[in-house]
Formats: sequence, structure tokens, C-alpha cells
Amino acid sequence: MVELKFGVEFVPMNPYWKTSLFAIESERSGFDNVWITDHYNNRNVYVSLAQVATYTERIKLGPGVTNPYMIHPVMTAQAVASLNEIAPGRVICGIGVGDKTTLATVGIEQQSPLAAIRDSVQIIRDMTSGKGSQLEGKAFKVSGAKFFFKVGNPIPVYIGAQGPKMLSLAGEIGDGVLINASHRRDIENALKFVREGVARGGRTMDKVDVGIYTSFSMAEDPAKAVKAATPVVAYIVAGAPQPLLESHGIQVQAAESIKNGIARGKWKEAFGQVTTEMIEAFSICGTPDTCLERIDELGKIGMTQFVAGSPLGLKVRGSIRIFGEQIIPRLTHD
Amino acid sequence: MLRYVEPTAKIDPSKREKLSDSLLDLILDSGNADRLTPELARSLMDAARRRELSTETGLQILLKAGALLEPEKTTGTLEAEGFLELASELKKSIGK
Repeated sequence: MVELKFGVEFVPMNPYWKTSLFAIESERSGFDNVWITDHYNNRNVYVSLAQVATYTERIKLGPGVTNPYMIHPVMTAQAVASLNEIAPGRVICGIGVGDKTTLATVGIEQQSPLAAIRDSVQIIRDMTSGKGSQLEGKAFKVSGAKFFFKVGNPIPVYIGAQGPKMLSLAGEIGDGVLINASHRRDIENALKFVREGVARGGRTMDKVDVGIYTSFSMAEDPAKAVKAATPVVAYIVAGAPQPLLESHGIQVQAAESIKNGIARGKWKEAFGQVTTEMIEAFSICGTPDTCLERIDELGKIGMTQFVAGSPLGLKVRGSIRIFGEQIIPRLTHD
Repeated sequence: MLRYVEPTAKIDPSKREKLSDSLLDLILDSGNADRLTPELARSLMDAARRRELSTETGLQILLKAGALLEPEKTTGTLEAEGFLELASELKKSIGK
């Protein structure tokens, strides 16, 4: 039986000290990995990670996820390699194509996403292995890049993926995949593509850590869990493609209306339109028992790492503690 | 002089854990996070890493942080948990 790992996502909207305190709590609660998101409009991911690395001892940590458009993969390699000096053997690296809207604000297009990720993974691996990078890729060309310092151990590279081709690429070349979904049916569909990629790469599934990167909200009082999840789900619904909405029985007009509310800064109006069906489709939300049931069923269909993503709950520290007390022991020792 | 620091020594060790938890939650939930000085933030993280938040020193750090970020809620928490002397000293320190 595959041992299930647990990750937690932090968004560095919070000051560094808060993120570090949450990470310390996560480590003590039994989480295996801390993923920190990478958006230029929040605090810097690597400064956050360096601080977390300093104040923790066991937990693994890495960007979840960075992208090769804002940051060249040699710089990502440099950042994770440097981080590995603070936390040897504890660094992991998540990379994906980034958020289209955020990239657009700085005039960057997501060009050749598959090639960009394939090349990036190669460059990060070559650079961190110490041999250096020489690549005539479709997206990146690197000629003789090399570090003047040693890394010491391999750094696993995870690919953040949603679409079929990226999921398949993750299966083909990733040390892990971070599937951005919360509903069992979406995850089952995604796993088909990951498995295709694994087969194409001549690998086996045990070589790929299948991470499910969820929108997660837990509280003893289910209403509080829903309250915390609602804004996050509103944003997910607003940005979800039509076929995905329809597959969950969500009217496109309802999503459009939420999107318009968000665009106009009418948060109350937008969030007020989030339905139970939307919460169910795009988050894992509820009491510890409800969440446990949903996580458990994902473990049975092939997930090897559960990532509790934002918002976690109205009280982040409280949710981390409950997770450590009521979820992790029941899924690792039963 | 932070007069409310001294009475932390008198806190019954069996009650320190609960008070420490309440103060840490109050600090983490605060919307005034930017009021925390880098020096105090470092002390807070150091104490958390060393599992010392419920020691006398740890409680003093939490009280200093609470007084900066949420003075009224901090005194309210102290009163609610029965630490009246500490609450009174804290009120004096923050001029209430």
C-alpha cells in the first residue's frame, strides 16, 4: 500500500512571520510538505521559503508553483539549489505555466506552454545535478550554464497541471504532478492523462508522486468552513472553462454573473451567488469527518499526496491543528 | 518599562499552555500584522521553533506582540482567562 503524504499550501499575502509560524505548526501537526505560491503581487516565494527553512527541521518545502515565464528556469534552479543549502534534502520544486491573468498584467504571454515546461524541467534537473545545462529546446536555449557551487542531492521537480497535455507531460517527465482539482470525478479524469504520460515515458506510476492540490476548508462548524471557502470558490468558478462548469451542472450564466461581480469589486454580490454545488465541485469543505471521507476516497483512486490549499479555514492555525489531530493519524495508521 | 511583563512569572505553569494558545491565535488572526516589529517577529518565531511559547519568556513575547497588534483584545483575553493582575498592568502600559 502506498503511503499517503500531506502537503499544505501557503500564499505569502501574509507577512513572513505568519507564514513561518503556520509552517512550524504544520510540521508539528505531521504535514510532509509546505508549498508556497509564487505570484509577483505577493511576497517573494523564495524569501518566504528561506525563512520557513530556517524555522523548521523536517518538513519539505518548495515553490508551489513557480512558472518559467516570469522567472527563467536557470534562476529557479539557482533559487532551489540555494534553498537546499539551508534545508539539505528538504527542497522540492513545483513548476507550471502560471496564471494567465497575472502574467498579462506584466505583458507576458504563455507561449508554447508544453515546451516551456518540458525544457524547464530539463534545465532545473541539469543545473541542480551539477553537470550544468546545454539545451537547444523549443522554448529555451541554454549553452553551458553551470553553477559555481555544489547542490549535493537531487531536487524533485513537480509539474502543476490541469489540461490533458500538461497532465500527460507531468506523467512522462515529472517527479510528481500537482493536479489542481478538488472533485473526485475531475481527478479521475486527470489521472487518465497522467497514466498515459507515464506509459509514454516508459515509466511506472510509483515513480510519480500524484499530488492533488485542492481548495480546502475545514472547521468543526461546517458553516464556518463554507464561509471560508466561498471567496476562493467564487474565483475558481469565475475562471473555470465552460465544459468543466457544465460537467458539474453549473450554469455558465451563474459563473458569468459571479465573474462580473468580482470584476466590479462587488464582493458581497459575487460571493452571495456561490452555491452548495459550486462548493462541492471546487473545494473540499466541511467538518473533519466530511473532509476525511473525501481525502480517503482520493487516496483510493491513486492520489499519493494530498495538498490542503487555500483557504484551509477561517482560522488557519486551528485548521492545521485539527488536520494533524483528526485527519493525518486516521489516514496513515488505519 | 513594560510593567505587565513581570506578573507572567506568577502564572501557574498549568495555565500557561492555554494562555499561550489564546494569545498566539489572537496575534495570527490580527489584521494589524504590520505593527509587529521585525525584532519581535524574530523573537516570536525563535520561541515557536524552540517550543518556548508557553514558558515565561515565551508568554512575555506573546504579550508584547499582543499589546502591539491587538491591545484591547489582549487585555480582554487575559481578563476572560482570569489573569486580572496581568490585564490591569497591560492596561496601564497601553494607557487605558
